[in-house]
Amino acid sequence: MNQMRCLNETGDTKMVWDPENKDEVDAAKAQFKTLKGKGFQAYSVKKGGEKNKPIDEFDPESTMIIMVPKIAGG
Amino acid sequence: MATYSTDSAWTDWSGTCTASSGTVWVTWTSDNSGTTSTAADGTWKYWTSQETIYGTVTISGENVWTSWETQAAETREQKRARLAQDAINAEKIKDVEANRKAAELTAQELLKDLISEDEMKTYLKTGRIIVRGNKHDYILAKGYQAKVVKVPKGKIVDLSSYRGKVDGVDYCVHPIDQHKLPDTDKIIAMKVALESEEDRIMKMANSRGNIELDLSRAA
Repeated sequence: MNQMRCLNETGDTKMVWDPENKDEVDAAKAQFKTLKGKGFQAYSVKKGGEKNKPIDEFDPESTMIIMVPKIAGG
Repeated sequence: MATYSTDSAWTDWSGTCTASSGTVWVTWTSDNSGTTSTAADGTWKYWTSQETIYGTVTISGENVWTSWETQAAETREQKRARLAQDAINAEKIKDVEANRKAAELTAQELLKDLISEDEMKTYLKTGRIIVRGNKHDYILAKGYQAKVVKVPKGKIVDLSSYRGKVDGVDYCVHPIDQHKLPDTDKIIAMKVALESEEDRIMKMANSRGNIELDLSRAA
């Protein structure tokens, strides 16, 4: 199962989907779009970090997507 | 009768009073008419009846007089309401603390999925992780605002075994509304952002100048 983790005040909210299950993919895609609309930045990540990349479109094949609140300089 | 200012009444009086402990309050009430509407004879009785009804209050030194006046000025209903509100507030604070702790543990579970077991051990011990960007390495340190220190690439091979100091540049860059996030979420946010888009993130970052980071001590 692939997963999307949205960082928030509870630690994070987790959403999982099976890339073969259209309903789950659609639900995850809708959530992705909602969070992007709220200003979250999406990163497709892998353990180790070498292949992490920012994404603007939902990728159902991504094993883990982390949604990060917008980052700014202090 | 001696005259004492409100703030230092008890200290001044107790400093000069020679009454023995058994009669100290009798002496106090006969020496002081008090500033409340209660007459001298009833002063201590009035105060103790207030405190007996609503529980024990521990007040030290010169705060005694000030506190007494404040308490005495309240009606019983006001005091009951105040104490009830204090109890509600204490419960709320307890809930907030419990939620914050649970959130931090959840964040640590996610971080565990993103770094090696050894790196996680180091993080739990020191509050630090090392992040490898394309151009530079960064040491992130846990705190109200995650500390982001740029260090020369390759200088630190293993954060758990590195001992001593390292020169770096301290940057201010963080998720907006960071105070809402548990500390470890701030670390995760900066880690994935720096690994994924170092140039864009560092363009936003504000330098706070050079820093010598002592890695022999915990964060």
